Amino acid sequence: MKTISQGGRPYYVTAAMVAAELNHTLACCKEINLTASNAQAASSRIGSAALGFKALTHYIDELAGYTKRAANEINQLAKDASKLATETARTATALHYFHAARDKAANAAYAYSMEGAIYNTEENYARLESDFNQVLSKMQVQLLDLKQNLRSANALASICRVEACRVDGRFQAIFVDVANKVDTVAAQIRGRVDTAIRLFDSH
Amino acid sequence: MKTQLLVETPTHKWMYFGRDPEKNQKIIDTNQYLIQSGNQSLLMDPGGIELFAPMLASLVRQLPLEHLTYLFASHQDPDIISSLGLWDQTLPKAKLYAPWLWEGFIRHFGMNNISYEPLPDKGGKLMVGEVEIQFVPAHYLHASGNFHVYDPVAKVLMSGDVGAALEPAEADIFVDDFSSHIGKMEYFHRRWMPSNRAKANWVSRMRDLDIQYMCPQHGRIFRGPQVRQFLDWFDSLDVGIAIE
Ligand SMILES: [Fe+2]
Ligand SMILES: [Fe+2]
Repeated sequence: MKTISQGGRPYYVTAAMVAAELNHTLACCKEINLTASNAQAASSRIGSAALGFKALTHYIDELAGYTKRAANEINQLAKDASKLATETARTATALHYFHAARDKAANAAYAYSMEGAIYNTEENYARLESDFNQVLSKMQVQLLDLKQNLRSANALASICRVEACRVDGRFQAIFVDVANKVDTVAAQIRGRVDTAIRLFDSH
Repeated sequence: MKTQLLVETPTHKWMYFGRDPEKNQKIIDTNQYLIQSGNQSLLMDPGGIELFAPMLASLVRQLPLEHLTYLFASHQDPDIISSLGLWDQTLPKAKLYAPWLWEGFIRHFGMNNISYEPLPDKGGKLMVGEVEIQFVPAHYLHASGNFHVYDPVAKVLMSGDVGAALEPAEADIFVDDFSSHIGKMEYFHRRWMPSNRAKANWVSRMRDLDIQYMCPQHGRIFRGPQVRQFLDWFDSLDVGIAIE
């Protein structure tokens, strides 16, 4: 379990960067959706020879839907994490100044009267840190899940290429295009997800 | 940080805090003032984030924090109140008196616990322990929503940026020779203060008050006849020079 970094890039920046990566992922999902509906339209034109292909477009659509939901969820977690990390950083700053004041006021008559505020802030800091770590590990699990599920994109693309061999030459290009598109976009999403995972690992 | 008792009456006292020797040279030096009466106190223009730790350390030499009940911000500047987010975690039950005009702005400094008591343009009054103090309008001097604090019992005016001087942090806290002090105030007032009309209005109202100490947020404190000297000098000064 990672804890909030004391040095280097602050965690609220990392979380915001992860959120940005996932926003790009959402744009990729829209592309897959579009590809799936284009393929569906094409398969209607091709007719009965494309029945297998038509079923396939349904799966492509489903994959895009799943990826979109997962990216949205992780995106929300990233936003929560960024907010929590910002609050944690602010609380850490307050603690830093409190400790400085405590050092300076070592022999002050009413130094004890700071202790309540210091204690509350320390408690608050511990709570924020644990909330943050919970959101963080949830986010990491979901990122890995998403990456795992994206593997089915390659399988779908392969089946798509097999189906292409079963139709007339003039339609083959459409099938191959869809297969390529699914491959490319899935690779893009995987890239984004890997970047997001790396952002955390680099801490 | 230098701490000094300014005035003491049977009901209350005024304390000065400032000239922190550990302050970063690049930030403007500020004066903080405290009125303490019984179990209540008012800290005026608490200062910036950088000043928070020395300020807190100095305060607990004078009073337990639960006696620090009120904060006052003359206006929204960072040197006045950017420490608010830290005070908010220190004094969750405190009240902040500040111009209504700046509430939405000052809250950007972070305020979840302290309550904001918006001062209407015409000003107001507040009982601090046994003493009643007045929030005197000083709009456009320099901020468009701005107040000073007048204590008619101790005859002290906390005048915010009015009367400010730019000088090294080692400087004495009291004006010694008024005419030689002018050089350290002139540019500040001509450049920071925007309105001759606002200035004339403020000067005429201040002439009606009995002021023995005029305490600005930067520079030195004016005493006795120096207050009248300041009002005369400021009255004749042409301000708002940047548009010339
Ligand atoms: Fe100011
Ligand atoms: Fe100021």
